[in-house]
Amino acid sequence: MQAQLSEIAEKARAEINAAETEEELKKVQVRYLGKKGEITAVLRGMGKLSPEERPIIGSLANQIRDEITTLLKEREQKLRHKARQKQMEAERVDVTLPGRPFAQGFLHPLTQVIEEICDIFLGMGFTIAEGPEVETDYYNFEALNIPKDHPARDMQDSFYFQPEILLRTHTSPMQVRTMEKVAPQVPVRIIAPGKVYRRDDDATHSPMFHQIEGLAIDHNISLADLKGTLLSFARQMFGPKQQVRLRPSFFPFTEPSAEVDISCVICQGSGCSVCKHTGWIEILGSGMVHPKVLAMSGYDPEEHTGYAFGMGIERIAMLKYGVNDLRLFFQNDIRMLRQFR
Amino acid sequence: MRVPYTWLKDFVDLELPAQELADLLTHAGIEVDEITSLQPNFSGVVVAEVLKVEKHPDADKLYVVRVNDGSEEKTVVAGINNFAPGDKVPLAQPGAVLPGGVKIKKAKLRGIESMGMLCSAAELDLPLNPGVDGVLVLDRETPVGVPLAEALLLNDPILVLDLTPNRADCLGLIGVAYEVAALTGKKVQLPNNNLQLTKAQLPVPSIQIEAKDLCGRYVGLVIRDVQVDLSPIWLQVRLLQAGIRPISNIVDVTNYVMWEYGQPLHAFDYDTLADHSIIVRRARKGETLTTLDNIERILTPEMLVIADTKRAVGLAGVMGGLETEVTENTRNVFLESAHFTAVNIRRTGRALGLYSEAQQRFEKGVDINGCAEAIRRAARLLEILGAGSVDGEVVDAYINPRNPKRISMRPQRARKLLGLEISQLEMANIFKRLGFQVEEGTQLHVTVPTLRADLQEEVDLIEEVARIYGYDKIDTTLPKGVITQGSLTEKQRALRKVKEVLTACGLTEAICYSFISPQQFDKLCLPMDSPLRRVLKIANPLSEEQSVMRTMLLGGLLDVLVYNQNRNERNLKLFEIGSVFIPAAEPLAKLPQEPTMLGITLMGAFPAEHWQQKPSPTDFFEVKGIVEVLLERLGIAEYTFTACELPWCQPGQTAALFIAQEQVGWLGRIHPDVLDNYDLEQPVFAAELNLELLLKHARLTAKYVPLPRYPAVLRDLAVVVPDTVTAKEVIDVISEVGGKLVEKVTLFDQYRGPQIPENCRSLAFAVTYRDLQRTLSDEVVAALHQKIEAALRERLGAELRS
Repeated sequence: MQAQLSEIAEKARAEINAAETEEELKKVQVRYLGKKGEITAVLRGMGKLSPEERPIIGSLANQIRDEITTLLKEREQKLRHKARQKQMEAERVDVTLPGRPFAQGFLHPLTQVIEEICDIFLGMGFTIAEGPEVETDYYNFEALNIPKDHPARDMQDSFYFQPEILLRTHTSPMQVRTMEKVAPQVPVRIIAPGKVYRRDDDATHSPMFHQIEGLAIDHNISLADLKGTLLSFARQMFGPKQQVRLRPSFFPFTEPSAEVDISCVICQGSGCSVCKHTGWIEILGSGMVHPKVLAMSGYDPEEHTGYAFGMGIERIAMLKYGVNDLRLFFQNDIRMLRQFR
Repeated sequence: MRVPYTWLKDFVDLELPAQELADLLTHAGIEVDEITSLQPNFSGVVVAEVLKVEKHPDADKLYVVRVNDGSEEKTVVAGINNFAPGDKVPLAQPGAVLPGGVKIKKAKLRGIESMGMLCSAAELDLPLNPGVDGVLVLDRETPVGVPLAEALLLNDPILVLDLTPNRADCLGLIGVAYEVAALTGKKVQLPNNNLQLTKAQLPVPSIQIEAKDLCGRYVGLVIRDVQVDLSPIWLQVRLLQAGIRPISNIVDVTNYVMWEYGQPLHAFDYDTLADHSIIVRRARKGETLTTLDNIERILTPEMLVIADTKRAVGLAGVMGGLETEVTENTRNVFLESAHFTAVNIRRTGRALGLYSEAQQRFEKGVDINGCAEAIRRAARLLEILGAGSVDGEVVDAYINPRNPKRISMRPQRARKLLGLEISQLEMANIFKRLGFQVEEGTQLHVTVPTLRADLQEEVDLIEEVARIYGYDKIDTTLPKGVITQGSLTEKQRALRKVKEVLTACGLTEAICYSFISPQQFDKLCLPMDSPLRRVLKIANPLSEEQSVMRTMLLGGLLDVLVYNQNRNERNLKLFEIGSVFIPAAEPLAKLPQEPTMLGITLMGAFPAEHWQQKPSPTDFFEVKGIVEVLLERLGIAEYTFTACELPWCQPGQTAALFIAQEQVGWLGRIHPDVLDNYDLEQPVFAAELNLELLLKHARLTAKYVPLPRYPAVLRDLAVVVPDTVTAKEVIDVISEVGGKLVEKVTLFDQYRGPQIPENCRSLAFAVTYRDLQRTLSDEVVAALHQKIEAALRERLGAELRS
């Protein structure tokens, strides 16, 4: 009996090792441990043994059953692992094949710049004002202290529909419209982006372009505040090391007026062709709101002061992205637009 | 304004290098655009003195000239002898290089060795006016042996100012000198223009100002016994530096003085003025005048003329008349130094398309109190040049003399506005340095010379303080006071969301011009009476291409598709957000409406070419899908698409979008005729929505709906319906009959084929049933499903497919 059991065990071990698939292994299991399996049969025949033999054979049979069970489990694991390996091998891909593209759309670079500038000023407590692109002479010129025949009108050759109605030449009319709406309340802090139009079309001018206007009115706004606001803007927009420089200038609707330079964003001030080797580039015009403009729009200049500024979006975008031709912005070449992630 | 450095030094001490001076001016608001010079294009040319001129012994047309070049005597052979011993001439020495790269070498000419070449102005590429062809004869005082470029100041720096329109005072060198003086602490030195006045030998001119509103002052002076000649070279060079062509001594002096004083002068041939009279009046209707450029001008009563008793002799401040021009035969000259109203000069110039240096100055405003000094300066220069003698006295018609303005400034106001701690003393000093008179009290009372017409009120003086003190010394602070909240309006947030959704859908934003060609409407096949053809027309467009304002975005976007198609970019999804312009009434009495529109165009096949998937051509349902996603993301649930027809769309693939019974836009396939008109080679699908109308319905903030607690039951439903029945009608019936137990109806298949009768199609739906309160039983669903089937059969003639 013992010999028979050993023989069964021997055979079972060999068959388990020979099984190459889980299916084969299952058959082995049934053959030995199934209801009609060989070891089961031995165990069932225990009753016929003598009381002396019974525990010896019983313990041996159990030992062999346990061993085979373990071997089966081990073999099963091995086979499963092997099968999985095989499957994974079959599923191997060339990881250098291109991934599936997800169609992306892009905002126009000018929109991106406008939103970025707006966000900076939103963070400084400004709100965004809007106004019409077709304007009256009053809002575009008169209310900004640019009377008829003022030489400053030469600076901004306009598109007219009627003698009194034109395409706005700057975003400044939105200053006036805002002041008229809220005067004499303070504080006023607005930023107003939009399209503007001038009769100019050459390598450095487009008949339509974008500006963004800023206006702050309160009890004690000073030129130093203007400088501080613009410094903060420049640093958020172009980097924390930016410097700003104000130069006296002239705009009929501000007094004092200033052109504002920032350190050259290309060479950081060391001098390059973009800044004509000065280290500075002009980015906007600004000044303290002219007392006449304040008065015309309902503020008492003795009581309130304010600053205003206006900048060209295209210029900022050109500096930011290194675009060298203004006209590219309106060609809408998809190969260009796709670059502004 | 061109400012020659050495000329400027006549009026103010200068030790600064030109670049430093330029920086100083630029930081004071007088922007220096560039520093240039006359840039001589030659080398090796020196000033030589002619010692002896003889005929060449062996050549009829050559001369042998003995010259002193400063270090030694030399012999040169010349082809002309328009000079005499003692004359100073340019000598190109052997080794010299002349304009055009001509190299000068020693040369034997008919046996005589020439040690260089005597040069003409043309050979040196100098636009001087030498009067005759031949060797350039220099001024007697020109130092011998000095390089010509140095002697003539051809490398003298010229500062080119880009003046703001308020700084007319800097259109004269003396005005610039005042600015420099204030910035450097130096004093301005004015020329001594004392005239030796003699008794008049000629009739005294009679000056009469009729148009007193247009001419505030008219100063005249007669110069007799005039020798019209060329100006000396030094004066010609200065005019060239200024950018003015030298003509003759008389004309040159008027220009020279204009450059110094900013006051335009005009010289008349005195003997051609009828009755030696000057009348300043408006032109008569239809009156004509032949101006100096030999063009007969037809004048209008808006124009101011200088006339004599018989006729107009000049367009005041703009251009003189030909008949009274100074010529070489002129014996006596009448000099004019006047003040005309800026606006009138501007209008006249515009009307005639003229833009002279004189006109520019009058337009920007000249100093009414500078007229007399300028004319004295001119007379003095003419005397110095020996060009004539003053005859009698300056005649001055100055009706209402303008006094310098006295402006008060509160020091505290200046400090507050500038955010600058600056003492009253310092402010007073700044004004004094500018040449203003200052009285100090609790306020500063500043008397501003009339030259500085830009200074009118307190705030202008405050700017002067900041400007001269230096903007760079002003602090940087942030506004103090009430904190304000920066936030977007609901509409602004919605617009940002629209852009976010569209880019997420793979659309790229374009920005097109707001003005278009009127032909765009023809290309879009708009009928002549289409309201979209009612446009705002630009009165002065740059071109026909950009002459009317757009009333829809589609045309511009189609242009963008063509532009890209022509660059072989054939798969495009684009959008634009922008205003269109709808005139309120014709003619334009009030401002037009400017609704913000969203335009979408799709062309080509998507997704992009990939080894795993093939792109499929875009179609109506892609553009519709984008619009639906947009509506969903904006929280707009109640909308309908209705088939419609539009001139630019293909019939049968066009729909209108309605929200709450209001049409907010359209979408569709662009009509093949339109594609042909644009040379577009592939189908295009487009949409245009009025965002003003659309965003009214937007609900940006989502409201949480509790997740269902009971399971849904899914049932498919396939019906065969005639083509006249729309999918929407089927869905509407399912939803209506199903009531609130039908949660969702999804169309998952449309089929036409052999098993389906002609002019019919099969539509297959997945219907999701759910009861929010309990688990639905199969019986309830089955009953409802049957009810729906019955209704479809009954109402739409649908046949059920198993």
